Amino acid sequence: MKLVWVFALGAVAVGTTGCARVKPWQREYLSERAMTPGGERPEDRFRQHWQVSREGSTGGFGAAGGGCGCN
Amino acid sequence: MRSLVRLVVAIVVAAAAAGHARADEVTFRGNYWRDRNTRILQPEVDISKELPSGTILGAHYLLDTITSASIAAGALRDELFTELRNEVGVRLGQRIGPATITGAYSYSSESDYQASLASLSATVDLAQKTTTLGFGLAYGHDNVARRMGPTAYTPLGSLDTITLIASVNQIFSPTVSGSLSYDFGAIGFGDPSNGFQANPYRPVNVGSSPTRESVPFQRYRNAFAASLSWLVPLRSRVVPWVMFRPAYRFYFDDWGVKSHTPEVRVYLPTGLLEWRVTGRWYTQTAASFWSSLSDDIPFYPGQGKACSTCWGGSTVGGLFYTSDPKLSEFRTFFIEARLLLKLTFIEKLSRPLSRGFVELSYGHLFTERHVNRTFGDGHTAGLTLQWPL
Repeated sequence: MKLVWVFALGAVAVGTTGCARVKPWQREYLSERAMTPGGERPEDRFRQHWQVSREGSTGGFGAAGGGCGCN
Repeated sequence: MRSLVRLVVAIVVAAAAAGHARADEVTFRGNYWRDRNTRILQPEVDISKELPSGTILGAHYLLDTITSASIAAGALRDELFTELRNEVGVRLGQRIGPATITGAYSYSSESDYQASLASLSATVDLAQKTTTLGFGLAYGHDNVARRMGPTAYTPLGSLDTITLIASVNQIFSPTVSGSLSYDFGAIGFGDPSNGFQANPYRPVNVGSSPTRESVPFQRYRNAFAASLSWLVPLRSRVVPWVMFRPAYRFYFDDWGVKSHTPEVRVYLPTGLLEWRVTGRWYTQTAASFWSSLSDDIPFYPGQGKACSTCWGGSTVGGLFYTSDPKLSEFRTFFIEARLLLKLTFIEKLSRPLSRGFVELSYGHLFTERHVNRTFGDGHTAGLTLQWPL
């Protein structure tokens, strides 16, 4: 339960710092593929695929893929 | 894959719910996995395009070619067996002001397992795209069968799933961004017609008799994840920057499995090349109804074991037994190296092709205990070709 509160407070903290705006002309580095969420989607989809067939947990980091009988 | 039940909770648009997925590109990728019992070759193609109207179209197709001799993967005898799994998915999104609404559907089929997944997600940009909130909802329906021969199957049940995702992405400075996300998954709803999650082929030693495993017909999953992307400009013409992406995930479910997953990725561009190294550590506890001998070999001396952590419902009073290594206590460590080559050097040959890149990766998964005894270590490799549209 403590962890839930930590994440909730973290989300609030992240949200409230939104007023520190980064202007479009300051986003050169943010446009790098490595900095873009979802920029490595097909690769991450396969990683999720083998991880859920070898580990008991899943989710987080934006999952991808489809159901399979890889139990 | 003759296999069994197992849900890969999946949300095709979850990446979009966690932020903005990239659009206007086509990706060809070949994936490879190998461990002691299983080899997977998986070609796939993914395409996405945003129209001037703000409509985003996307689709993917992949083919799993699984060669296995693993009992855990469904083999009845120690002989090689190759199974094909086809998966196709489509995405349709629309930008409406600062919001993007995306619907997606995917269908996966193999001989003894069919899965459908529909999802809806929304992202909202705030403060000049400094903050992005994401929400996702997905519903999945799988049909599970047991192979009885080359062409004969016995239906065993179905699996319905609902997954919710909430996320926030935040840009902190011109070189630092971060994200938080929470996933909740309801896997099955209490009986075999909507919650079949056992492996129909996996035997369990119950009272010294091999018995087909039995697990609860419902499971509630929770995952909290956080990551930070921190780019450090180096003012060097050879190495213009280095980027670090530490991430952490905490997972728990009502079967008693808890896991911690810290991970770090380091990116280093040099000219046309970009290097990336990934290190990932994973540890989990066993399910509350797991039972084993002192050397981790699954064994149930009596009739089974109650799920002492389950949140109630149909699991109350039930006795369960499993030999699934994924439900035991273990740790893994994964390390991977990836090399990306930008194709700008072929601009004189083909300008469109020169805007893409080639990516090559290799990773090694170190395992231990019953997971190592069953699967051994894992090797994974990938080859990606990607171009903007």
